[in-house]
Amino acid sequence: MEDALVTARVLVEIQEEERRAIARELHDRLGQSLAVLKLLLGEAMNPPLDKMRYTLGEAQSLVNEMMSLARELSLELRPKMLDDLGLLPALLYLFESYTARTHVSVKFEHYGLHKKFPPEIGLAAYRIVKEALENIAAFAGVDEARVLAWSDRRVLSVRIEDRGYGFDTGIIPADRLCGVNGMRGRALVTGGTLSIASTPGLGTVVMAELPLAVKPERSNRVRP
Amino acid sequence: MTTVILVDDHHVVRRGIRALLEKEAGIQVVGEAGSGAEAARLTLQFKPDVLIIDLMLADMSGLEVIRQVRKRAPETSSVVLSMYGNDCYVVEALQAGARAYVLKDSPPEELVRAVREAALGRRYLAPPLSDRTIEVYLQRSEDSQLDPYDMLTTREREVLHLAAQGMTSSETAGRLCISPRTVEVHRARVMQKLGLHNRTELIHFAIRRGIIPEK
Ligand SMILES: Nc1ncnc2c1ncn2[C@@H]1O[C@H](COP(=O)(O)OP(=O)(O)OP(=O)(O)O)[C@@H](O)[C@H]1O
Ligand SMILES: [Mg+2]
Repeated sequence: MEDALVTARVLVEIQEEERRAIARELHDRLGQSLAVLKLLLGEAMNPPLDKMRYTLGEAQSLVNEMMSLARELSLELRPKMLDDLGLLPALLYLFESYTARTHVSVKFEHYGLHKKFPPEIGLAAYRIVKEALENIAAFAGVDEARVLAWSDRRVLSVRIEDRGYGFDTGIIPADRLCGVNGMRGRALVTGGTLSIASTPGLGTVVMAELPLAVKPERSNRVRP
Repeated sequence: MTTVILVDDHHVVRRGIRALLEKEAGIQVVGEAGSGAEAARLTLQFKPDVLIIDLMLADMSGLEVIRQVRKRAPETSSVVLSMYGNDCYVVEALQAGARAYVLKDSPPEELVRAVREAALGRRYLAPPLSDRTIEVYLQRSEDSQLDPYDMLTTREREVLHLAAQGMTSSETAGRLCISPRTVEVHRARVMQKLGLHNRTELIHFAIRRGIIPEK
């Protein structure tokens, strides 16, 4: 069990690092080159030759579109604000883009999030909330979700609820590579817990509790 | 004459911006930097009217430079030029001491306008940014009053409901197919989360919440 956890943690880290690298490439390389291209086009427009005006205008709006696409893809893969500013800004951004994309609104209540969490804990919370919300948009058949997040000195907790169709949680095999097991794994590798309670017809509640203080017996273990 | 120092870790971006600003009357680019450390050094040395800076720099956060400049060269106004217009970055930059915020995909004249406004000591947010969206963001990031009942897990709620009905730990354990020890742990956590200290308080809470009927 312990070894499986270590492997899972390594896999999570590798995946996150890859996402971060791609997100950075999208922002730094693609985004910045587009920014320059945009400046150059602006230059060419000033003053424009009449026959070029239309073409340059088109090119400009295409560049604008590509810039926002690069930015959105980059944030989707790995929200920069999570690394730069913390969990709360990242969640607020997530809800905004989620609602714009799915038309499911998010009722968000939080307490005690104005502090720096250990990076892996903030990330786990973010990924769990995101997956639970994706499932709500895909399967719950509702137009509103509720998210609560709070922390004290010991635990960061998140709770994601919907009043939608619900499902039988027993039918997901423990070894299937899927969102629900991914959320559970995220919580487990931080030493936390995740529970899913769903009642067909009434809705679903996903709740995770992630420890902020590392348990001494685990942190003292030396890996070979 | 408004003097400007330009900071971006991509020199092509700097070249483009310089070309743009040099066409403007009354604006003069007096220096360029590719890193935060260099930006801080140049700004403190030359004290330009305006510092144009990207928040995301390789070596050091642009935010940190803005903070330093506000403290040690208050006569210089910082203008952020960023890929990101998310409210969180705008709020963070303004709190660090930036005067203006412009997106890299805003029309070029927005940057010129921001430089001119900032040089006069005025705040400027290039559209689509606005004081209103910033206000909404600040409201959303304020702490809410959470209902303690929402903080309970499903299992903890079950334990609370059974305890409120007067079940002992071992009866509860039998009903939920878990050990009495585990029930004790859940019950302790319920009491702690709800800020309750004894059985009487637990019963009162349950009545108040309609978990059990009033006698
Ligand atoms: N909030 C929900 N409401 C209703 N059904 C849900 C909800 N969340 C999950 N489910 C059900 O549980 C199943 C498993 O979800 P899970 O996230 O593990 O996989 P998935 O969303 O189908 O695929 P992915 O691996 O891309 O997440 C879903 O197919 C759906 O039937
Ligand atoms: Mg899913």
